Amino acid sequence: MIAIEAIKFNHDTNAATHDAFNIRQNATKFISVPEWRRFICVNPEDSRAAYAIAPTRGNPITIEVSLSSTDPGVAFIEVRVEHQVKARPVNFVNGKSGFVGFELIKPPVTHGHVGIWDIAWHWEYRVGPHHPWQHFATTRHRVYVVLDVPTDPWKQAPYNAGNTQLPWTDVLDYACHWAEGATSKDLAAALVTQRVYALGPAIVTYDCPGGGSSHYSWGSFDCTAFIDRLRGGIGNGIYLNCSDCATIVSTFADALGCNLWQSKMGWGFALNELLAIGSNTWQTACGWGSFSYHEVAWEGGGTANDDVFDGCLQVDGDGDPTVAPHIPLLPQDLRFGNPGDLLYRDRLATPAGRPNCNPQPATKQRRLVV
Amino acid sequence: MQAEQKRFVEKRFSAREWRGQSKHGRRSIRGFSFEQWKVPGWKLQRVQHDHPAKQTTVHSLWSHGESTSELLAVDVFECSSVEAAHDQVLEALGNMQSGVVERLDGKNTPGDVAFGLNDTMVLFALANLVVLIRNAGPSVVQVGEIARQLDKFLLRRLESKPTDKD
Repeated sequence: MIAIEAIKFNHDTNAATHDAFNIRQNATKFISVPEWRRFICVNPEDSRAAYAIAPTRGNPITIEVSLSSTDPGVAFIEVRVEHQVKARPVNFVNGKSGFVGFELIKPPVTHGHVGIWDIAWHWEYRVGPHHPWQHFATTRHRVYVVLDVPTDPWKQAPYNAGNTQLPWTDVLDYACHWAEGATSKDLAAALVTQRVYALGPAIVTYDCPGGGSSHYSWGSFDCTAFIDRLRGGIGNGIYLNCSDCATIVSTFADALGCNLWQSKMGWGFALNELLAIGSNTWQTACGWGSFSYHEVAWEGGGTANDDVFDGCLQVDGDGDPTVAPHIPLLPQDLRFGNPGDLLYRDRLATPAGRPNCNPQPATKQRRLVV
Repeated sequence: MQAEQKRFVEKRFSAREWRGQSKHGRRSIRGFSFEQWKVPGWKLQRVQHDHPAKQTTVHSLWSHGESTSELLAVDVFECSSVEAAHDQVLEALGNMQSGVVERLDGKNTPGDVAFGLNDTMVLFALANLVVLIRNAGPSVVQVGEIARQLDKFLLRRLESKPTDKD
């Protein structure tokens, strides 16, 4: 009998150019290589691999597979997965092949867009070119495709169980789904922003009772609690604020290879009417009239010339954001701007508040994920 | 907190009037835990102790009976001194976006200094401790009475212990 013993998707943990990049499941669970092991992995989620489009573009994608044979008469065979894994010869020594490289045929990363694929590989072998292919095993895998290798706060090194900043598949499960089909970083970040805002009011809502305080990102990003909340658990409760939204948007987008920061504006400025996350009432954020500060996911240097993604609120997108009627506009890839530009700053703050609603690039950060 | 924001928060909340002052001198509480504090009708769902460099933080989540529609997040920061506790108060205030959070005063105000919003959020410092009580569930509850109960509980501990000279 021929069997697949193990499959390595991330066979080169120092590079992501020809194979999968380094990942873990969450803060406590590491994903070791080989990702697929016989008798242990049954369902796709038991065998996860993540690929980045940019570094793999134009390169052959390879896996490494270990096979076994209990038939002493079989020492040389060809192995393939039709349409998915290129056929290649495999030699057995004492019934074992060791890890041998296989090239993938049009793997999901070559589709060029963000997504999650659950794949089933039906492995076949033949004993010679004039013999028929025979099915001998099926393996199932979950493949994540992102635009580029995840950026900070996510790290690729060191690759060990102690590095909790390796990209989490618990995050990719949502981020790749939210940004499915995205072919550019701006589009991916915009889709993440939309999906975060759409979590209100059922999953999360703006913290009016608590004065707009942070429940998930005070200090580090309590991503474990946030994912619990996404899955229907209590998490840290239903409320969040702008810092939480900025952190969620940027951290999830950065897992897709985007390059967003969490950065603040301030201090103490009057607001135009807006739609806070979870609310369908145009008002000045819980009726307060002003923010002492606001935080968003921000590109570049976090300056007036850089674009923001705000998953926390919708501003008035019409020609005069200071008065009704209002046209909801979720800020996505919107320049922060200067007073009078009718860009993000003017839409968020009143004319009197705009001089105090200044970018604060010194606050730019990417919170640690815990 | 970034320096410019800290200056803004200090000014907005008139930190000069209260910073570094405690009715309890240099007394302090060490090793706080929720084990001995009971709130009638409320059940402790989860407690988590963090030990960052500056202080120990005890995060807790409470539900009103079995329902998760009424939830309270009660966080206690155990700081090294009154001064450090008041820095932590400013840090907490700096994490609140609202422009209308205000200082609480009056006879029943908990702690040495307290801030709140509409009786749905209370932040107070007592000696070296900082307590933040916030709603975490969709059904909003009043938190003032719970803050006063916790304040009394902490006061009893503070007064039952000999003075800690830090």
